[in-house]
This record gives sequence, C-alpha cells and structure tokens, in this order.
Amino acid sequence: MKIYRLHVLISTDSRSILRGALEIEAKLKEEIKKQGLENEVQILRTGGWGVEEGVQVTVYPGGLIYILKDEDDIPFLVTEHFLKGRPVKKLLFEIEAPPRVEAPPTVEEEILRKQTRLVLRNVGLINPDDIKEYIAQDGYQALAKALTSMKPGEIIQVVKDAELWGRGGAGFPTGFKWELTAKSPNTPKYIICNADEGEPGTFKDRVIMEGDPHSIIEAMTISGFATGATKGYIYVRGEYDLSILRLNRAIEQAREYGLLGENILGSGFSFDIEVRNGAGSYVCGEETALIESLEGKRGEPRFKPPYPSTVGLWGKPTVVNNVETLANILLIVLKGADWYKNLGVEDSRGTKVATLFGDVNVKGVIEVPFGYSLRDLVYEIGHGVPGGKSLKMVQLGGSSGSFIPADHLDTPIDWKSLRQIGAGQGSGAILVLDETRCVVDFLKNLLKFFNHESCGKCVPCRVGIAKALDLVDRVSEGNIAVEELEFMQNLAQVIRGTSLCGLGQAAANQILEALKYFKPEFISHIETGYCPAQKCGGFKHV
Amino acid sequence: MKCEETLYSKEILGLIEKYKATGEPLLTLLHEIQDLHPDNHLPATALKLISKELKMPVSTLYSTVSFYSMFSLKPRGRHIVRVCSSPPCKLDGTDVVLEALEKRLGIGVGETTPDRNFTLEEQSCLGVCSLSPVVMIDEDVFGNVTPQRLPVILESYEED
Repeated sequence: MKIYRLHVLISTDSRSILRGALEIEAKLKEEIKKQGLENEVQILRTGGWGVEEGVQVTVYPGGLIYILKDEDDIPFLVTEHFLKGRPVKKLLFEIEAPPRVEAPPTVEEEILRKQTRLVLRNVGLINPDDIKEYIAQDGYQALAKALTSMKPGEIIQVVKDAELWGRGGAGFPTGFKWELTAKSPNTPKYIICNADEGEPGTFKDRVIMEGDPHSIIEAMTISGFATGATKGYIYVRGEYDLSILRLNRAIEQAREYGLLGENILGSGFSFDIEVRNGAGSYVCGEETALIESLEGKRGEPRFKPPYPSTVGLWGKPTVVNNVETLANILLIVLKGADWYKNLGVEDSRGTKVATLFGDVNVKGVIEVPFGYSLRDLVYEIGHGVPGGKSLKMVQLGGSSGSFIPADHLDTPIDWKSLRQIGAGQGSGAILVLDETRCVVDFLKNLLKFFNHESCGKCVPCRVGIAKALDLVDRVSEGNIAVEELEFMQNLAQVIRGTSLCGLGQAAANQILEALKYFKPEFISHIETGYCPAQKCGGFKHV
Repeated sequence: MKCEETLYSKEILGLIEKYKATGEPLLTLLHEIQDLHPDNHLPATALKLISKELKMPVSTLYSTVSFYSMFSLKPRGRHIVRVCSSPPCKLDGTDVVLEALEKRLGIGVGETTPDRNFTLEEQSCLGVCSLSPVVMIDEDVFGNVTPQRLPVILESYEED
C-alpha cells in the first residue's frame, strides 16, 4: 500500500459539480503530475462540507479547507502548499460576514464549531463510491453487531429506548413503527426508505445519499432484520440522478462484500435492496402515496387507518422511514440508547440535519442537536442577514412547514417547544426572509405550488386551494374587501379540517399562519396598496 | 416510416419482456420507454402495447402517466428546459428568468419550439435551493441563473 504525504479531498456532490468540481479535480491532477508530486499527494472524492460556495478542497494533515473558484489558482496552490508546505491564505475558506471581535479560525472547525455531526459524520470525509472507506469509518459495524449479538426484539427495544422520532416531518416514534410491523403475522414484509425529498427548500437527504450512501443500506438491513422483512426499496425522486447513481453503486458493492443479499455475514439472514425512481410528484413523499407509486399507480394517498406498518406495499406490513431517520439507527445500535439520549432535549433526542438558506450570509447543510434556538442557527451558524437588514420571519420545515416571525426566534428547535407556538419542525428546511420580502407574494407562491401538486383525490384540497389562491391574488392586487379575509380564514380552517392527507392541511396552515402573524400587511395591501417588496399589483396603481 | 414503427415496437417489447416476470416496476419501465422515443414522450401506440402485454387497461395506464410530471403524452423537443418554480426559487427571481426564457425561445410553459429542439416546463423543487434560481436542461442543472446568462447556457443545446 502506498503511503501519501498529503491527502486532498475534493467535494463532488451535485452542487459542487455545478460549481466546477470536476474541472478543478482534473486541473489539480494535471498540476500535481507536472510538479512531480503524484506519489506524495493523493486526491480523493468526497461529498461536500455543506458550504455553499466554490469547490471545497480539504487538505490533510491539518484539515485546511480551500474554496476554489478559479482554475488559475491551482498551480500556485500546488507549489505553495503541496510542494513547499505553506498554506495559501487567500484561498482558504473564510466566512463573508461583517467582521466580529474575534476573527474566525479558518480551519474545518469553523464549519463544525457549532455543529454536532452524527448523521453527517462521514459526509465530506469519505469517498461515497468506495465501500472500503466506509468500512474504515466503522461502517457495517452496527450491522455486524445487530446480526451476531442481538435479537430482533432487542434492536427494536434499543430504538424505542433511544426515543428516535421520524425525521421526515411527522415525527412518529420509529421504534413503535418497527414493532407494529414486526408483530404483524403477515409476510412478506417490506422496508421502504422514503427518499422522495420534494419539500421545497429541503436537500438534506440528497446530501446524505450523495455523501454517505452506505449508511442507508446498512440501516435498512438492520431494520429488515429487526422487523423480519426480506426486501427493501429506496424510493428516490426521479430528478436526483446523482443520488440514484451512488445508491446503486453502493448496493452493488455491498452485495459483492456479502453485506447484502443471501446469508449476510454468515448469519443466515437474507435481505436485498432495490432503488426505484419517482417520476415527478410532490405528494408521493406522503407514505401511502409513495406506496401506491411503488406499485406503479397514481400517487394518491390512501385512507388511514390501516397504516402501512400493517397494511402497506402490496397490502403487506411495511416500514416506511425517511433517509435521515435511518441514518440515525447506526449510532443507536452501536453506542446504545443511553448514549444517544444524551443528545438533544426531552422528547426530542438526537440531532437534526437542516438546510439553511434564503436571506442569510452563510447558507448550507448543518447538523445540530435538538434544543438549538433558531436565533443561534441564523445568527451564529448562518452569520446573520446580509446587508444589515432585519429578519422578518423564518419558514421552518419547507413549504408545508410553519411561519416563525421574528419575535418567536428564540424558540428552541424541538417538538415540544415548537408545538407550544403552534408550529412543527417539518423537514428541517430553514428559509430566512428579510424585511424587504412580501408575505402576500410569498403566500401566493406557496399556494400556487400546492395548487399544482394537489393530487385531486379529495375536494377540500382540490377546490379549496384554488379558491384560496384566487383570494390571495386579489389581496395582492388590492381588489378585495378587508372583511373577506375572514372568509379566507374560514376557508383555510375547513381545508385543514377535512383534507385527506397532509398536503391540504399544510396548504391551509400557510394561510392561517400568514394571517395570524402578518394580517396588518394584508390589510395595508388592500387599503393602501403598499407592498414591502414592491411586487404586488396594488403598488403600481398608487 | 412503417419500418421505423415496427423497429420501435420491437424495442418496447424488449423492455417489457424485462419486467414481465414480475409485472413491476411500472414507473421504471415507463421512464425507459419514454427515453427511447426521439420525441421524449409516451405515444398512444406505446401505451397500447404495454396494455396488451401487461394485461392492464389503457385507461389505468393513462391515469398513471398523466399523474406524473416527468411523463408526457405529447411529443416534446430534444431538450427539456425545466425551470424550478418552487417558492424558494421564486424569491430569487424565477419569474424574471422564466419570462426571459419564454421570450428567447418564443414559447410558453408546456410548449415546444417549432424546430422541436426545446420544450419549456415548470418543475418543482430540485433540491439545490442554495443556488436559486435553478434551471435544469435534460440532466444538467444550472444554478444562480440570470437572464444575462441564458444565451450562454442555451447555446450548447442549440442546433447548428
């Protein structure tokens, strides 16, 4: 085996590739060869650090992160750092934010300082296309432990004890889900990984699948062993090409190593996984709609109960878990429930992967323990709102999430505290809006989205959202009476109360929350035509 | 023409054969058949063939195909331009980009250029929200798109 002096990790997730990662990699290789360093410097592909800027190149030892945007910088970098051992300051990762009293250190700790990376522990560090690197980071240890020293019931118990709740948005206790399926007398049983990440503003699952695909495969296999399932499906959005490619490669490698397929690790347990592509439908993220879609039908939600845990895919007991939920399983099995429960707060254990974007200085994918306040997330990790503007609101949990106005910013992110202000954490998307954004225009876009994605099965959602959109349109044109806002609220309440699945309920919630926190803005649109973003029609007539 | 059609049917039958044993997965099969067609869509002849082979009513197939936004029953252009129109992208000016695209291509959303080169579609969130607004052409994703950048982006897909 070759021993290298320097290890250079290049981020090659889909967003980095967009920013030219492959060109940078080729140029680096060329330059290293030119300077005769090919036996000293090793170039490896990894996922990204969650920094949304340039191509991230991490150099070990030292863990220095360079942000490369220009190929012309590469010869200098290679000469200075790789050859002469002097870090190139001007290319190092720095946070573009108003200067603070203490200068931020420009090493990997800066990104990770406030974060606790459990689910993302391997993302950015290992090559997702190489199972050996995953195994070197204790990969497949949890599976080995589960298969050789635990009984299925024990695994379910440890997941229950760890109080792991689903990370897809609804927050259903995972262990309980598994138990229901395990107890069902029907066979065969199925495990489905819900990777239909369609929630606008959410790309955490994509980061996990592109950066650490083996962790999903390992966790699904454990789940299969615990519940008695023999087959797993990963339902990935049709638009996520790179995720599909990397998952398929990982599955192939796992099969080759005997970690998937017949008689895994000689334990007598057999389990296999297939990747299935979606075809462009938001509602298929709802678990019963996803199951319908897997069966090759229209992705329309089913009536519940019965729940998929007992009557799921092809009418058989089925566990449906989100990508991030599954990624949590491994550490729980390896380190135990007590260790896991140390993270987070009561009723919300562990960490949450979130995507921070919108009007913040530093956008990215982050992971923090539950209990972190939104203010800290936006101002500490996100380094505040650009241009010195003040924050108007945060939309937590994607388009079907909740409005959090500035006065609620100190609310910790955990199920209980959020419920107290009538919100939910949803998928973990954190969209920051500054004071120049218009709530009416934002709500209009939200409703347009829901109107388009409504599957049409139930009337309140199909007809109600279209009607509500019309009302909001009229608000934005100033062509409505203030009293009609009352009607809009009633309409939203009916939609929320009578829709079949979460889509209609979520759409109605957006209306109710917009009115709850920003009614004066609606009224000023109607009465004076004033729009803070100068986007709405009424403004032009003034 | 006739000969081309038979060739096309043969290829479809080959694909169906692959899945016939299990009868699933239908969506993957539809994806593959759609990719096969030069006009990027699922023509009625293809649906009829699938219906016959998989013993499934055409109406059921139609209801499935028409449900998903990635399938099309109408012929489409060689390149599909998808503009992300989800709320986060809208905040960053999707509308301006869409307008510029419509003007440049001379078509509206859901339409195809007369030379059959481009079809313009709206697309829900592509999961690259930190680079909004986002446009996807075929399988390539472009972030931070502005009307000024559009000519350069479109150039490589334009026919000589």
